[in-house]
Amino acid sequence: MLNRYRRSIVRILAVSGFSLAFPGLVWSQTTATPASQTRVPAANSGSAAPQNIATVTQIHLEHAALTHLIDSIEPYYKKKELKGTAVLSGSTTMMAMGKSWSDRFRNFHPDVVFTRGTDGTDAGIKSLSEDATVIAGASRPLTDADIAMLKKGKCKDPLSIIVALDPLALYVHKDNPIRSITPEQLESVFRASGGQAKHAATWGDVGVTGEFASKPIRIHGRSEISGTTAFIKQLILGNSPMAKEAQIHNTNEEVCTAIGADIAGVGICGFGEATDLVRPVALTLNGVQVPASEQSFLAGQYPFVRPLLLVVDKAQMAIDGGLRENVLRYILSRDGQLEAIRAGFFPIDPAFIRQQLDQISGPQMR
Amino acid sequence: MKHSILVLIVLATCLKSTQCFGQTNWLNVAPSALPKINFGGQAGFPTTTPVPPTTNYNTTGAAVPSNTGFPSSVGYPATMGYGPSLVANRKDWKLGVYVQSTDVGAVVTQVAPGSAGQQSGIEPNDVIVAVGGNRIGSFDNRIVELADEIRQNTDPTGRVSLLVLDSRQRVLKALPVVMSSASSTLTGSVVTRDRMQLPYGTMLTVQIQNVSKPYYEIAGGKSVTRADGFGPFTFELNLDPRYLSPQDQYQVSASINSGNQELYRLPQPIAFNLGSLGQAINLTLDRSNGLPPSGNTIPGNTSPISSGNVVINAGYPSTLDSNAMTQLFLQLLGRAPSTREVLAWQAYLQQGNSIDDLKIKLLSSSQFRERFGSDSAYVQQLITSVTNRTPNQQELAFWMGRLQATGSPEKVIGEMLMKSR
Repeated sequence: MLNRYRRSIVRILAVSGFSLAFPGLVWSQTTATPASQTRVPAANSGSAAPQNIATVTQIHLEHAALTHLIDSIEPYYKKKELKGTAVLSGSTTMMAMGKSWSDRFRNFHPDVVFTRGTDGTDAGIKSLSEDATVIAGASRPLTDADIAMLKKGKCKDPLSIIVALDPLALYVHKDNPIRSITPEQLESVFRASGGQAKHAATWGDVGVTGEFASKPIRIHGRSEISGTTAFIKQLILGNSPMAKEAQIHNTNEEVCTAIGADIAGVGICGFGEATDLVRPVALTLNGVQVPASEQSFLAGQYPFVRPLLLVVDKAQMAIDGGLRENVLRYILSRDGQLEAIRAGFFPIDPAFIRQQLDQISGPQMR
Repeated sequence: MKHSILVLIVLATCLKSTQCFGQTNWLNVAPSALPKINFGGQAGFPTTTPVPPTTNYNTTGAAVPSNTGFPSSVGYPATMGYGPSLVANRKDWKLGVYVQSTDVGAVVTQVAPGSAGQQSGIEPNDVIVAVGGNRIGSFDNRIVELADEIRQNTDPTGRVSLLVLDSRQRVLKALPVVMSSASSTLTGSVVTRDRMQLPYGTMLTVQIQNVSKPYYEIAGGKSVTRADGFGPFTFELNLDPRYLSPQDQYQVSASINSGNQELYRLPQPIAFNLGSLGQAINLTLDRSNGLPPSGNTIPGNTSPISSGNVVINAGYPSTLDSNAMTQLFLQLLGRAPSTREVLAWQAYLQQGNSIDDLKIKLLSSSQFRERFGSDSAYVQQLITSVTNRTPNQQELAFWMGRLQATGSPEKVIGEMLMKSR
């Protein structure tokens, strides 16, 4: 899987000539103007504010576009009767969604039983390496080390499937005046002090002015073993040391709640976990403010996203009577992707779903 | 090998610059997994064609009575033409090839014998470069799928033009193909009982549903088309037979909506026998005003959220009252639902679940739990939301125990509901 990404990077860089706008942003930047960014209605605003015809139009177009996206995903049809037990382990981020998927899958296949294994992305991957029958949820991409561990263990042929997307944003207390942050500033918030790069200790260090500038930045984070933390380390910090958190929490929702109670608090949460007491901070990319909104993400402008994966052993798929294949087929079906939305995440591109189905069920005839 | 060296050079270069942040993002995410929606009808993305406002639309957005006698919703003229998007109900055309997506196009690995692909002369190792003039393959950081382009570009008779790189002659050639589809078609026509003239922008929704298994959505089972004028309005559902089972019962429902208001509907969905596929069905719809509200609404709960403000219903028919949904979200989660949440929960309601089921789902969600500092405050609010009264100490202790024992808020709420009956 990593090789495929590397090939994409080569192509992307060849096209953009080393000047780094995000690939998605390159194409949409020419069409979106900053003015249109500010017209985006805040979907998570606490009350229905008076809307003018521009925002009504915007919402209609969003609705129409999303309807088209959902309709491009095929519904699930039953290929065969199934029975057996499936053990779902891993990411706590994906736990509630996994439970909903299991319940709804059983509408089609009542003889399949789901049980819950160990919690945590790292623990889930480890349990898959010890027991090839596990289905491991990971809230971050698999590293080469993960794949090596799986192959050295019992999972000889790991297959990871992206099942949902979780765009992430920097969240602050609603009274924090900061509106937008650059990637460098974001890195400086989370990077430990002492290295050659800056560490932002106070809000003034990331551009906030006025009386808020002297307040210290208090990071609310997750524990070492969480997939979320690992993703932040990999993605933002490039594995350099992370700054000390003011508080550590068990779930991403708790992080959001804690920020809502801490005026100087900051943390990274997914779009679906936001509460009314916190606010996402827009990203300033090449001078353009990209809001952390559903619309900017779906339009390909907001680049900060992590994939949510399920990892299985392909060798198991050959001997389990079709259980894993059909569970994955269900999750990538219209109902499965709608369930991902209901759990607070985002669906994946229908064309990419087809590609993954080719990997899961073998090449499909077009 | 060459690729790896190039990547290393490139990465080394980029790591020196401060703008690596975005790049490492793409290292970790398969970019093609991201849905790319162009809002505003940009190139390559079908959306409903916006209708310019009629001349009697005033700039304050106040409701202007239309001359057909149909009331427009608050602040939103029905003549505006926005509503549920047209649901593409195209047949399931099959070319009969197995492909691998590359940056040149779709490389054919196998051709099914007797298929349209074979008949047009496509052979393994040929590359399908474009469909109906649109490039396919993996490029520009996304994947354009052969199946999707075929679906969108094929005409009603199954014809489409492909651009194929012939692997033996090494030439690009334009290849017209005629495909067949395995869809079962349900056609018919719809009239309104009072035969009134419907304004431009009115939509007809016809849907076939599996009554025995409401969660079993049928591919091609819904069509949304324009229905303006006097009618009759024709419809065509192209059903994928893999989703149909002779053991199940089916029903057909239909409604006509203008903006966010339902104007007409079939008084009762009509039972449908799969054996009747192939015969046209004729439906007569009655005015919705005269009929009791159909399922899924809380009676009397249709007022705008806050007085004087425009209510955004985004064209949902009133049988799936998004007002009630928005109110539930505001009440329980302190925020309005996002566009994608409205769509996803509407789909949930459409499968036969009620707005009260939705309430239970929201109450069971971790987002709702996070609004409370302590377990006892949370359980107390659960009991109040479900039973409409404040619990005493004993009840509170009992239900906290149940939550501890089951670990499932949904189960506990179910028990609460059963007890309160």
